[in-house]
Amino acid sequence: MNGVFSWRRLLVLLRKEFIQILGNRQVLYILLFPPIVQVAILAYAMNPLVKHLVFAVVDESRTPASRQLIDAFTANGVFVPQGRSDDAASVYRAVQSGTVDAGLVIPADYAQRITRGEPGDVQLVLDGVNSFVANLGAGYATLIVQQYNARGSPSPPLSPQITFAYNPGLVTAWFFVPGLLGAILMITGLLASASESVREKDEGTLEQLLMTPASSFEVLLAKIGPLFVLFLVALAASLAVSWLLFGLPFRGDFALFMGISSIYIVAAISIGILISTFAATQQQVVLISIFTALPLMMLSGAFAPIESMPPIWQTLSLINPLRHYITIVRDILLKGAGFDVIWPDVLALGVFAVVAIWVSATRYRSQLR
Amino acid sequence: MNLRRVWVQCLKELVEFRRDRLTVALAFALPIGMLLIFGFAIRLQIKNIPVAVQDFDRSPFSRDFISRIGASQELVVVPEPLGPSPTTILDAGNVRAVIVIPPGTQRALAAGRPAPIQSLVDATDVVNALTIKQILTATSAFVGATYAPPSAPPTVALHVRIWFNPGGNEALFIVPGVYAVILAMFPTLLAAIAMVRDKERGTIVQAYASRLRASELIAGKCVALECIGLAEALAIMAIGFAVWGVRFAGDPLPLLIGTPLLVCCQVLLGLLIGARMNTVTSAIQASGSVNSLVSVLLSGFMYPVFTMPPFFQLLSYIVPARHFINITRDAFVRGAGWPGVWTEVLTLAVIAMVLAVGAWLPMRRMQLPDEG
Repeated sequence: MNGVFSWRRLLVLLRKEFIQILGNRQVLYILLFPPIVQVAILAYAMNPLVKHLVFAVVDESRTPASRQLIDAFTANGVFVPQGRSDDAASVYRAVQSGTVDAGLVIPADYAQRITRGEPGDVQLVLDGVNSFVANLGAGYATLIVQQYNARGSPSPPLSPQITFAYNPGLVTAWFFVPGLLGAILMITGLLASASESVREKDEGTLEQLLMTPASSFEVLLAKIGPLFVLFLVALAASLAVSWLLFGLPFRGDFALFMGISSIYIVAAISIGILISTFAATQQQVVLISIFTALPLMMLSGAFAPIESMPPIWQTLSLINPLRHYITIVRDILLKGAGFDVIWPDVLALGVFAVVAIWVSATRYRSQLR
Repeated sequence: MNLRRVWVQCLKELVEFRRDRLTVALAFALPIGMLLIFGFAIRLQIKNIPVAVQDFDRSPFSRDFISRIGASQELVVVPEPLGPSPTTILDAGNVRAVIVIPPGTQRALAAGRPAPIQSLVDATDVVNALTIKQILTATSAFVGATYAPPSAPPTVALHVRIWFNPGGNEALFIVPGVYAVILAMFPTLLAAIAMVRDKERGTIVQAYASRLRASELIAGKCVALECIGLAEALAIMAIGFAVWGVRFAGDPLPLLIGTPLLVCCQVLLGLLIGARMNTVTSAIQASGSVNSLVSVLLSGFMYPVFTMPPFFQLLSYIVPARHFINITRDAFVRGAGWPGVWTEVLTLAVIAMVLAVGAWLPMRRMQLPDEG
């Protein structure tokens, strides 16, 4: 090895990498487009709040009492009625074929039972193919009936007063933007760095590079440099776009945020380079990258809470840099948290980044031996 | 179109694929690995959300209330000291909600006075927050009724029945969706690379120089990759059956027709991307990141399509995975067969035709792009 680190060599190498990336407009576009535009579009489009469950009603009772109950169901927009029919079998068929999400059946003796002082039985059939939606629907329906039963009595015996902290307007985009940002930076950073560095191998220019006096560390730093700068720009732009579109707040310290994001981006790029050392062709690089990035993304708490995952996966997710980054971004942006709260996640991220750089630098050099 | 030339092109593609051992291994190991990870780990059902309760009442009522909250699958009660304010506890980030039961709640209830229980909920995760709200409201109503003076008996008794998946087995919902996500992702990637690799290596010139027509080139590649995609489909569905017992719930025919159609759509999409892009890197980026993200997030795999803004609901019609997910969920869970899904199968066929033209257009001249 050729020992001392040289700034001049690093600058020359950096210049080479910058020219290579900036010269290819397609690559440039592909690196900047996903973080900025995709984050905004997906955050806008994805909506986990179940509304507008389409349901069919069979009102065999046809009394004011039954109509009142139907009105209670449709009052707050969770259930949207679609057609009424007189026979329960057709509603069951509609649920069966998936044309409606739910069916409400009010039997003929509904009103009579109520006048006799017995509870009127009604039946709600839910399409359970999406068990997540079905459970939410069942929960809503239970609440609606509970409130319906409690009407008339002066005030419910016990009503909790609930205050929503950090996101009082319950804007779902505020939840998704940090997750998407982390996920897309990971997937693009990993793919870009992996395919850029395997191309060097593919075209045979890697040998030339490794024969120069430059140390593997310098070569690697130069590789990371341009991508790093581009992603930081994209990150800031994406936050600005989210602020414009969704009013995403920035309650914490901007410098702290950018500092931690730098660590994260370096980690993502290093994983990419590490992957490139295992692969010989572009095809392999892509397959491995996508395979690495998607589980990292799905098991990070970006879309569903970590606490809901099976215990083993919760423990495993501790080594997922994305999980820590998303926690940090949410804490800084939405909660205005400082270093005293987020330090365990920052530490985990830092350790991950250092290990990733070290392993990829070692493997990168030993490739040709 | 000369069928023999199509066949030869297809064979060439398969030979090239088979020669690269690592890629063959990856083309099968990765989908299977992804199926296992996603099938075991993704759970949308909210479970075990940590909440803290500050019980200043210390009465039978408050103990009853706390144990009922803990008994729900969704929430876990974490003990927290009474000292710090709810805001401080929430800021520390270990719990998602702080519930405060003020002193004298039980007495107030018994006397028929309103008894406010307060709670501060972390709304960073909106679904979490709403679930917590729902559970608190329901628990309050239930426990409150036991301790308050008796009121009028309930007038309506709701019986909820959840069909098709009464046990709420989430794997049964996730796994058929993962089939669609995997088949939307890997065939596209392989196809995009197969197309652009020839260009980057310059070997496409040989194809240009031969009598091969654009339609034959595309058809040949498409058939070869279709075979690979179908083999992948077979592998993952067999594993889904072996591991989670995901089996046909009804008529399998729509799935048997839908699967080749979906793979065909995805392969053609990959060929189209490959035809448009000039370097492997960009082809990969386009097919890899955009396609896989869209297939995962806008196909209804996680969140139902009907909750999206109207414009995106319309847009999602052109995402093949969206249609295929409906087919797999019908075949493996609902079991309604043709009446429920014939439109989906038809739409996939239409998308495949559009994509075929789209892939053919940039290649039709079979020439290198004009300089400048």
